[in-house]
Amino acid sequence: MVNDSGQLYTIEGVAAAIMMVITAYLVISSASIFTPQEKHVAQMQLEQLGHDALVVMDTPRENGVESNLSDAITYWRGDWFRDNYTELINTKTDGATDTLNYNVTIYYRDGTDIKPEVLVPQDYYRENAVKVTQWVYVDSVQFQDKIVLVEVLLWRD
Amino acid sequence: MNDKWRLSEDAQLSIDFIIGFTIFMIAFIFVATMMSGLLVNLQSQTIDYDAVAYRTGVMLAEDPGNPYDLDNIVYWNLLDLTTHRDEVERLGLSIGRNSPVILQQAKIEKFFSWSSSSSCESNDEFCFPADYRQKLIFGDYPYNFHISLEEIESGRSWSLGPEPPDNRPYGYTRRAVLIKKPSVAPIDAIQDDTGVGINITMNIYDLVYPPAEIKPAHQVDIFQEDLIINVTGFTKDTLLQSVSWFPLGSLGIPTESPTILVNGVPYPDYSPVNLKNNNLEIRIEQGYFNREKLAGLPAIIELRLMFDETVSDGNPLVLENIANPPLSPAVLEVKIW
Repeated sequence: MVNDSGQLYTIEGVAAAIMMVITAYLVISSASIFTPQEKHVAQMQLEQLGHDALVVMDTPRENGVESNLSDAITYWRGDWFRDNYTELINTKTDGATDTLNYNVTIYYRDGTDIKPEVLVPQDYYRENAVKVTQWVYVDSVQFQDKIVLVEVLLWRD
Repeated sequence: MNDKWRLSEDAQLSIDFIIGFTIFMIAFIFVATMMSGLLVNLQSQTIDYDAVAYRTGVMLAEDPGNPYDLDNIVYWNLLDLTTHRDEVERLGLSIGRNSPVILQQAKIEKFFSWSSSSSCESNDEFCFPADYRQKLIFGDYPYNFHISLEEIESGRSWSLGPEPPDNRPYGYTRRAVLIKKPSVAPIDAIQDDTGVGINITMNIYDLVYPPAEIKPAHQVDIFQEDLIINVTGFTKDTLLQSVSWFPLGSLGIPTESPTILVNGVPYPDYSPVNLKNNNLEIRIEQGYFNREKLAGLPAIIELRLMFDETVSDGNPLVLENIANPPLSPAVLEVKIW
């Protein structure tokens, strides 16, 4: 004789099964595996290129002259910086132009304070960005240490 | 209910069980199908391609390649590939280990001289793609690659290998670099003075052991790079009579004269070419001087250009003061698939 004890009724069984399937689906679909590099590669490429461009700009074109980067800071010419840097990060060898954008802040010591000052302004709307920095020697009396930190916030438009 | 008419339920599946089992099987099949998709991220090849592209970019931009030995005389770009192909172990374009992103034009020219024909092994050029896979890309997997370099200001470009096929994902890296070009010593002919010769002195010690305050990017390197002496400003009919080294016959200075060009055209035999309004170029090619042999020479050597007209004030010019290697910004791209 069959009785009801220890049995699921049909409708409950179906409901329970559906809930289990949905749960399993949600768990599995949300647990897709990201390897550490995957998200990192694009950012790393951006960092590398941004830093390369700063190094290139910080290398004087001739012995005994100031570098373009140092000149741009000494004379506080954001447009000089922009002319050089944009070309370096956005030129591609197939003739196309990339769409990287950036803003530049210079950090220097004033007395005992660290002061930031914007050299190249550019609105930033929370795109996925990286920061690259370079210590630069600037032979100018306006900076007491003659060393400033150039910080570039770099992103792809 | 009459038990007599009731069918026995022994050894029968209940409807509950069938429904439950069906749903379970559907769910099981569904999950099993999805499992393979879960692992796709783990075997993603684009990650690998990006890593190889990154590594290749670093080697090209930051490594001087191998052989590279300051104390000896061996640089990979000076080796003749017809006979020394196996001695080139690693291709790198930088001028030195401590000078990242500064590339040497001499290495660039050698690197981008390639051929995919079967006769490449018997020529002084790299075989595409075998040599590059073995000396630059590395790895067991036979990656395809495209490497290109473009000077920003002049637009001059070099490239290696075909572009990746459309719709094919590829690893990519881009580096901003500087190209160190052959040193140029510009000289202005002064034709209203008294000297009929232009003498250029070179301090061997400074050339073999450049002063530490001059950064490698700005050093005149007569061993690995060409040196161009450019004489312009001839206003009178003038003939070049001779090009010679002093002291003569010193150990290590080749007996053949450097390459002489007028307006870019070679004049090997001093044939009388009127230099009026023309450019005279003396090109001392890479590998002309041997670093090891020069180290034992007298401290100063002199290159003497003799003309049949007055061209200078008679005072010798010092090479280190007039020669300068121009640096030119460029972009290097690597694509791997």
